[in-house]
Amino acid sequence: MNIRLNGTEQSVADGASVSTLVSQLTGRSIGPDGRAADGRKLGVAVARNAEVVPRSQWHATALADGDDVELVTAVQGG
Amino acid sequence: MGTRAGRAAEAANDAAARICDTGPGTAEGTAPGDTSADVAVIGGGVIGHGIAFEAIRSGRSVVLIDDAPGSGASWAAAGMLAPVSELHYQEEQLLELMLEASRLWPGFAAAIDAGAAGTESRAGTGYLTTPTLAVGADAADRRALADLREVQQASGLSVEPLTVREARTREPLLSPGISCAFDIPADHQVDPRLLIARLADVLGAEGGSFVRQRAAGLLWQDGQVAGARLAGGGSVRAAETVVANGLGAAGLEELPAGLALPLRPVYGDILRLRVPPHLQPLLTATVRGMVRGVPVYIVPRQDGTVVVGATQREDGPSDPRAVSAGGIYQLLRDAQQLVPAVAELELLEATARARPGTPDNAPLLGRVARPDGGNVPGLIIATGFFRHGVLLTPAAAAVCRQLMDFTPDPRWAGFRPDRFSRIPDTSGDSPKKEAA
Amino acid sequence: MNETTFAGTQAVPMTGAVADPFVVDGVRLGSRLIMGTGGAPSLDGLGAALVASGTELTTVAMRRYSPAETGSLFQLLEDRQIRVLPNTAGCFTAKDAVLTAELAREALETDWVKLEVIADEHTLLPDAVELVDATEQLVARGFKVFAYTNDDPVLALRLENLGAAAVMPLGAPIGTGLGILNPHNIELIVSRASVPVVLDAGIGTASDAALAMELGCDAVLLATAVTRAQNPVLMGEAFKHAVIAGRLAKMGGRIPRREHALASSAMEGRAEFL
Repeated sequence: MNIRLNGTEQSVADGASVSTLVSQLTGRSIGPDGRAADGRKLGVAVARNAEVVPRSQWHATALADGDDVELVTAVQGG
Repeated sequence: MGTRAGRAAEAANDAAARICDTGPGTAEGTAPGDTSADVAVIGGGVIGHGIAFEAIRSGRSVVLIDDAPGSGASWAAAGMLAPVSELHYQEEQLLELMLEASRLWPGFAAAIDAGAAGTESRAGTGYLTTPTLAVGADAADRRALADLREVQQASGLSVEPLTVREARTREPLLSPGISCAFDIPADHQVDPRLLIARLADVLGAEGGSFVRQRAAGLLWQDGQVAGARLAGGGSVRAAETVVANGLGAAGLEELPAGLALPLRPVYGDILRLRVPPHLQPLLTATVRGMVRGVPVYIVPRQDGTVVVGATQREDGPSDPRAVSAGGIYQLLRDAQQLVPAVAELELLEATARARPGTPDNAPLLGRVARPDGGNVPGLIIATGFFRHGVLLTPAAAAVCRQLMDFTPDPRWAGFRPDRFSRIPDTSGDSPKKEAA
Repeated sequence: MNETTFAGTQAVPMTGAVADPFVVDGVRLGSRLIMGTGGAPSLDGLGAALVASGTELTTVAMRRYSPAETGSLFQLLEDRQIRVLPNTAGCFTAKDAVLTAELAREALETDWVKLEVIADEHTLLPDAVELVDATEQLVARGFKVFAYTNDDPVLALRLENLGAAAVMPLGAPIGTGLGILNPHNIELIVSRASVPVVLDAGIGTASDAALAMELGCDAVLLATAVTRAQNPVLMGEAFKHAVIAGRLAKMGGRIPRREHALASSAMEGRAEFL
């Protein structure tokens, strides 16, 4: 299926969860609690269709075709 | 005659004691001040009138005894029916009674209106289901109201936060500088002066009697209360005597031995103001504010006036009806901070009266234990309603009716008037074991 | 509110000989200089400048994740144990700002947010109306709002009343380096505030930061003045001292301004030459 990730079309496996997507993009293994398996902070957040998905829900939240997903992190600013 | 009594109550502000004016409906041929009825109610404030009305409705004959009815705390009261915003921490049992009263109010008001329909009066009781907005002035007020909301919600009450913008859409004259707003739809209002006038009308029309005298004490006969002794001589004999004269209750003579009624005056200043035509309506909801930790309220009336209140003083002024300059300053200052246009209103009246306070802020409501067990027959106490007299009127009336019917509701046993007393125990039983 | 000591610094930071912690939302910070991270040409340079400035709190922006930058800034701040204050830079509406703040809370695990709601890109000045709305909404959602505001005493007090944890009036528009254009308003804001006042934006050089502290601000937030300086490390250190100097001057109590001179040497006992 296809989603929009940070404004660009991207195909992901059918039934992939938010957790899977974050893991793929960051290259970090993510536990069911939405935290990195290595214990260090991930520093990213996910909005799906303009709603924040709390990290505790990443595992249980399946992506759907056409979802608009934003993955953000801290950058220099302010 | 009934409406005459009503107008008299409306004009009670300047009421001088009318000695031996036994009022309308007195039985022909009865000597002045020597009356009898099923029920004698001592005290003609909202509570006394409400109880008398309920007694009449239950088919009993009633005499209401007061030398200046409606001129005490009821004359000052704003008439907010506000169980939600009057909730205070750790007063859960009182909340239950307030909620019961709130539930009773629509039917109570309708019954008065129905009764008054047969009299000459045109005005109603001023009972309105206007909602209430709770607003804060600064950041600390916002936190205090938010904390209180958690307790209110935990008690199942509806208190919904509004943004300042939403609140000001509903009430455009609210200051843009308020720090928060909460919608409290269940808090309503009545006009206590109209209420007493209508109750007096209905009582008159239904055959109730008015004794315009001060009750000096209780009459006793065969170990039971048999009525009231009048200050000007004479008496009112009754099967049930209800003591509902507010702060005056503790000063009655011949109260049951050992009964302490720990009532203290808590003075309040309150203002009535007229809203000039170009500012009407000033508000459509009652605004209850907290301004730097001090409460203030603005109640809009249908007649284009508003009531701004109320201070709480325990300063013991030499004249108990003296209005405090500092109190008025505080009320206007704080009301103006929430609704700046208050500065443009016309001041009609500044009033001060004493509320009957009790050590636990709850009323003294019920029968009194007898030293040898059981209750003193023929006596019911209904005073100490503090800030909540108007709201609690239908509940007090219902409780008294239940007591007269000997079907007391155990939920209200905690308000027994002898809870601060040590009744000498001559039976071996604690008086507290006796339910109301 | 419990006070917590951040980042293992001394429990009570000292300014000169005086215990003088900067406490915001119950957290003690060892420095009254808050650094922005925007505008730095390199991450290494930024890291060195941050260390030189002595800051314990820095702002960051929230942007789309790009695998190329993995962990970079976030990791730098983690390594140096500098607390992050996410901002809502680039938001033009309360709605945007609230969503950005929610994302920042999720990503950075802090409920602190520097609320910026900008009116237009030309002035970068705050949009007061949206700012008020956003503050109210964020406070209701449990955020500790550091509200970036115009140097408007009325607006600053309103933001505080709506629950802002700190108000951050601008000295001059972002990035201009014009200093404090209306010192009187800043003083007025300080005099009426009961939450920390942080001078934010417009700082050009060290004396501007010292002046902000002398006016009574609790802290200074700046970025460009360091990150775009010719030598950010030197400038970072200059601001560190400027903030301490201004704070000490405020606490020390300046002398009144006089029309006429007041000799500092006694006139008595001079040698007389006849």
